[in-house]
Amino acid sequence: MTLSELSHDPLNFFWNALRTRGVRLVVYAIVVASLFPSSRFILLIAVILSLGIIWWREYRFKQDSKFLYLTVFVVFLVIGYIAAFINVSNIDELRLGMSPWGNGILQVPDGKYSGVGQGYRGPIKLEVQVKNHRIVDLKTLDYPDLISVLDNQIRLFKKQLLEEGRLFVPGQPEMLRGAQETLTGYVNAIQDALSKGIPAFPQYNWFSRLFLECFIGKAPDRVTLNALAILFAVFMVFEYAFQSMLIPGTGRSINCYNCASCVGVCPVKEVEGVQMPMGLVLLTRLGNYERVMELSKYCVGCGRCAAKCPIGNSGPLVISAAFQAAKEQKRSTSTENKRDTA
Amino acid sequence: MEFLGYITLGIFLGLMLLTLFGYIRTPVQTVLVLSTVLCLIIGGFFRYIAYGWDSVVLLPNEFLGGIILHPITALLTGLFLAGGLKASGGFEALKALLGYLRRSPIGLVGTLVILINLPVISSLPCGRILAAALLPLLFTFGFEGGLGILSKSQLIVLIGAFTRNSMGSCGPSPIGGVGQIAEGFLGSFFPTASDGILRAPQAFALMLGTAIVALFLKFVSQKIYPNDVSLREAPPGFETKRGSEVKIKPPIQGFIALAIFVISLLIAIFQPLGKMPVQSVLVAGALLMIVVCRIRLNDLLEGIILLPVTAMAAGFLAAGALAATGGFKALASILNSLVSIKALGVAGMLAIFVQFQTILPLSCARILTAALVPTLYLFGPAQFNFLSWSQLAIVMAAYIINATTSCGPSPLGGGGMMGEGTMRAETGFIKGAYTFASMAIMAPMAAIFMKFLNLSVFQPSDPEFVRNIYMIGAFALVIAGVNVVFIFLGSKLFNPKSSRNFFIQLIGFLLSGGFGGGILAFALFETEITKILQGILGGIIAAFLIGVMVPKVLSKRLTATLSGPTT
Repeated sequence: MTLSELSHDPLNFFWNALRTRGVRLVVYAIVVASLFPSSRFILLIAVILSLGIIWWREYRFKQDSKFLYLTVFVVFLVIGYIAAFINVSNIDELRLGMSPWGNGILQVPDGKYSGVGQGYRGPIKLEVQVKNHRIVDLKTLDYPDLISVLDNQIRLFKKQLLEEGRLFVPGQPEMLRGAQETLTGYVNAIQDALSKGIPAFPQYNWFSRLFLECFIGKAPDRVTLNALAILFAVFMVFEYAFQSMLIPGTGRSINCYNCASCVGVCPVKEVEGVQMPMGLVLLTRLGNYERVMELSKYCVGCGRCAAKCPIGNSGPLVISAAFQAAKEQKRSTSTENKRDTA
Repeated sequence: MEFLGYITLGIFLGLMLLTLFGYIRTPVQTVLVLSTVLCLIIGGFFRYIAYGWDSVVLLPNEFLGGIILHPITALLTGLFLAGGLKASGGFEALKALLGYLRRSPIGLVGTLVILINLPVISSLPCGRILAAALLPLLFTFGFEGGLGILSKSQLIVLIGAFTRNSMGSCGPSPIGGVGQIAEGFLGSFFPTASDGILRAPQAFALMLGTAIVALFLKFVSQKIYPNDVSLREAPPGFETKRGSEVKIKPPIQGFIALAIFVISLLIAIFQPLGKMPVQSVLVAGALLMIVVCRIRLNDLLEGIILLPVTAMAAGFLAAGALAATGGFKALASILNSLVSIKALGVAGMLAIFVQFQTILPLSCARILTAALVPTLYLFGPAQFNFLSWSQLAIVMAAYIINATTSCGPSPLGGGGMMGEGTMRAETGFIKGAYTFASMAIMAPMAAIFMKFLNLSVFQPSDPEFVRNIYMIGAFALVIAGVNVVFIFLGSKLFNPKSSRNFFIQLIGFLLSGGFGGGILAFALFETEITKILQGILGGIIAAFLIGVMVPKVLSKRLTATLSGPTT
């Protein structure tokens, strides 16, 4: 699978890409990153590290240029990060002098402004009404868990806020699960709304916003890590089962119960630490066709395993399919090598 | 609409039985998915007629709601860790440690006892992990394996007992074990149930049951099926290599991986770093193995055993479909009607119910557990009020140990077949021993343990604690003693006539089943004589159903396995 193939045979290129485990893993990572902003930074690091280790080996032994491309990408990433960091620091400094907190409300003209903050259950969308440089009304436009914004913590803060007429730091909420996050999100939404009212309020440039959105997302926390662990397990088992669906004839390896009843009747039983034929069926499921090819010469093809298998799986059939897959893999690799040499 | 529940329950049980008896030869997950689809189609049709299209649209959400993700993902991450352990030579390190133990004062016998109980000690989420890694090692103790330390008969006992212990260790496992499904339900009353309320009763019962399996294999199975194990005996004059040691040189990464594994397990159990899901700890452990032990992602994938994962998912789907179409209500009302039979009552019905999965052993315990634990839960204060919360916990302990050990005797690719394959035995050789131990020892013992220890609120100075310990000891002695006597008496009566042996074995099953049912009833209702008698009757009925399904002759069953069912 080479990039040049993309131009002259895109269908084949994508089909081969789909059949490559590494590509699929990157696709899973991209899907997760696009759906969960807080996972982006961790996933980016994980993908870069994994690719770096794999491609570094290829670079050392085959002088493959993929590692250099990755290095260039990382350099651009670091430059982008520095540029975004400088912009964000400068803007934050400017914003300090124009903050809508406390007396900063004096900068906000009359009107209704909406803002968003991240609550415990998702984004909180608010509308703030300002009249005579005072906050006179607050409306919750959207929050997945409305009960939270109606509870005592928020209600009390809202009452005090309307009495004061300006934004102030709320007190520590009681130790309720998610109360702190919801209150913080609520305050952030007010701040966001009021900031929109301040004329010429400093904004991050488009590059910083895009960079932070694409590569950093939101700050990763423990919940994200736990969710990623679970997603990792789910994607891995999908990946494990998916492999044999892509290679004709190997699909029946999914059915293996790991019961080893075939090992009991196999005349060979074990070769190089691999239980025959169950081990070969499992290696097929894993997609390790080359190893199956190496060990398949020991299979005598008697079919006793198929008779004993509780679901009628035939070891020799699966092994021969994996053998064909290994041959095909070798053929395509040698064609690619020839093309590269040419 | 009540009628719909009976139809869907009939479809589910019918398909399961057809699979068990070999009339459907497809993976059990396929059958479960088929059952789900059929139930949903019929359910959808009934709902359309009764309530209209809007009700049909709700059906998919209702049945998907049956899926509990936690045990599935915890099991998966446990399997990753096992894969990492295997690839980095962790099991080789374990073998080397066992080699050191052999040379220690506990000697060969002590080491073998530890080896047999290693699955319950390590409590991995699927017994097949350790069985796949260590069964080849056990085989080497025999003549064909090279060492010739053990005779054929001893090797059968060793392999059989080890496999029994393995195929039950998924119950007390804190990293995605079957017991966690029930602990989740008990959590609605016992605040700390999910910390492992069922773990100790299961582990204790499993250890005791393993010992009985060893005796049963020695004194019953080998006499009933004398020609069905093709292991060879050492020829006269063969010198054993008792003195020489098998040189196992595990890589240093193996020891590191083993250390990472143990530390991950301890962190997952004791949570010293604060509350976090076991999945996070195990994935972190697996990734650490990749970095430190230089293994690949593929090695983690190699650890996956699809059967328990897919079986659990398919079981949840089937359970969801049954719940959405009223199948569980139908089952509950059938069991309710059993309760109204005076001879059975609640105690008798429960004595049958806890043995359900031993009667119907499928390739993975999770399939029916996922479907039946919610039903059992309904017997408690949540709906029928047959049982108090404490009584429910006792029945749950008995049910879960029975369920988790049910993959052992399953002829549908159950874990016990790994043992049969290693000892070169025909399919069904271990079924009698495994079902007997689950029924007669493990279920009553788990119930007693739960009653006297886990449910007691004790403090260090509490005299009740010591009394409870004594009670458990006394019951363990009585339960084990009675069954050992049955096994010894039975072994004296066997002769080459298979029908006679089968009959004697069945009588033994009935006696032990009745005894077990009585113990269970005692654990629940203490000294209420009527209840105990009802429990005994329920136990006898369950034992009859279990006993008649133990094969009389193995070769016939093998023929059926080889060529499919014959008319």
